[in-house]
Amino acid sequence: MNHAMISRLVVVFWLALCPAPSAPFGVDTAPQAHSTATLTLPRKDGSVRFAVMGDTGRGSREQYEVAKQMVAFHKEFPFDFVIMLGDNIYGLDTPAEMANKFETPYKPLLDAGVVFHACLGNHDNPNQRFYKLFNMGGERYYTFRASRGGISKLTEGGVRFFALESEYLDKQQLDWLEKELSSSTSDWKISFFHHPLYSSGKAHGSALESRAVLEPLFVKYGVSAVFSGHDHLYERIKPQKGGIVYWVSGAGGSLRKRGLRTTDMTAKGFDTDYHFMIVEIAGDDLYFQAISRTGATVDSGVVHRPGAPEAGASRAPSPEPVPVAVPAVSPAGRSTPEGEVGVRPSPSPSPTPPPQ
Amino acid sequence: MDDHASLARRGAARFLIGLLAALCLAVPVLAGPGEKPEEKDEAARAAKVAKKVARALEKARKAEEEPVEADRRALRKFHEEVMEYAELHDKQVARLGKPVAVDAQDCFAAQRALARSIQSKRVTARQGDIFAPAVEPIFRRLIAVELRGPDGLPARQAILEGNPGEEKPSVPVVVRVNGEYPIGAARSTVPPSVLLTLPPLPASLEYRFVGRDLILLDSVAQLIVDFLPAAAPNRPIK
Repeated sequence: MNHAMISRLVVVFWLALCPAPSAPFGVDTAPQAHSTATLTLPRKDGSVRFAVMGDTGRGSREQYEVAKQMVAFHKEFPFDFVIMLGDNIYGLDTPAEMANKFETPYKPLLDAGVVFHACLGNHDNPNQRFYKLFNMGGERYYTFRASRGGISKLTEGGVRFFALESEYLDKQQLDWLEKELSSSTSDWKISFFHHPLYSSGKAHGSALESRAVLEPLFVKYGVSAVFSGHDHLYERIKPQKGGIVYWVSGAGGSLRKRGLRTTDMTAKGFDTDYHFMIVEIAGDDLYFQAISRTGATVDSGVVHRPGAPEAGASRAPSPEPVPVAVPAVSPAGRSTPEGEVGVRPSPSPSPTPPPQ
Repeated sequence: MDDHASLARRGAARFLIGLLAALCLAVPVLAGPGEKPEEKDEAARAAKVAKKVARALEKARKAEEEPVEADRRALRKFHEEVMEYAELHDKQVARLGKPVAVDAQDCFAAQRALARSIQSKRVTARQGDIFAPAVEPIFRRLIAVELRGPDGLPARQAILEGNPGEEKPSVPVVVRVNGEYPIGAARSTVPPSVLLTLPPLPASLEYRFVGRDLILLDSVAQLIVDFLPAAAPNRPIK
């Protein structure tokens, strides 16, 4: 028995004898009370601002509550677009269900002009690529450019996103990705897709086969950050090959409580409530903040672009936190169990007569 | 005295309860985070999987350049059947109009209209029309090679991800030719090593697994075009 084991035994023994043991063995960070909700991103001029959400589409109360937090944070941090990490619509995807699981909860953001860019998860009908509010252009994998600098910035730098369909990485998709990555001149190359290449989730974990084909391309062509869902929790992975930072953000509407086992690759984890992320890219720095359903910050920080010259950003003083007036939610309330879909009975799809 | 004895008894009882609680808690803690062998060797497994996928890629390249003579005819026939279906699909899409950037109602209606249209043109289609008997053993062999052994474990696990025959709860999928892949049903991951070794398909078609069956799915109409029963060998996933 080594020292670590002995220490654990002593701690466990002490906790068992304590009249009111309070330290849980679960992962990380109990969120702060919602009254302390703050925005920690710097809101620099000309920065690219977006939100990240994954595994949202259940139509559950919790999804709606996360959406309300997104709206609250959008008031202080007006992000231009949202990337959706798959499992956008669980179960039925009739028009009524599309409204229940997407259009209604995010209506305030849609009304404010926020653009959503989706990728497909294993619970999604691939025909979501034709759905105009997901902005996939009819493609299962696609790329788009984000820049707040207007037309003059379009020939230089900027941020390019590569949305992939990770459950079907065939030769056509991999060839397309290599062509697009190799021809991109963007400073920041960010990829997002459903299945995480790195994850400490107990339910799914790392998609090793996908990692074998994607990671070499990411390293070769300078991808800097990767966002995935699938595991219903939050995890920031320590920088991997090529300095790439990977995030798992799969609890925008689905949650696997205590679903994370901390591993050597975990930089930060949160698996006790739902969450979303907001991200700001300014120059060679990517600022991120993960926010729980109650509005609490569960992770935040800055990533300097791998390969970029060292700058003072990480040494710069942290921006003054901005208070955010967040809606009250009841985190102690009933959670939608894994696999339970929706909160509203769905009407049967109306039959379409065969074409004449 | 009684008070002292009672206090001592209570103290001893508390100590014993604490000890028992400690032992109960210690077992899962000792076997907890960071201690499982599968976590320790993820990097090693990832390296093995990377080699395996590289081998699959190389094999696919060779097969494309120098197909085995015995397989050539069967694969050519498979390709012809696939392209015939793709032509039918494209004609129906051209007739009905391709949905691009539409609202939920039109998206849903377009899928159903295309499905009805194709179903009506393939009323006589049967299992094995495309996965013909001559090509069946080739598919079974290609899939079996990628799923076998310890290195095939991640691929075997990947196939179960979202597989409606395995994942619970899931909308059940009835595997039959010309049948619709039901709305709301999950979709299996097709691992890259398998996907890269199977014959390539046009954009209108894709391979998926339902349970152990390999299905050929129309990617827009969401129709099962053909299937290969028990294409994935029955192997453990642990």
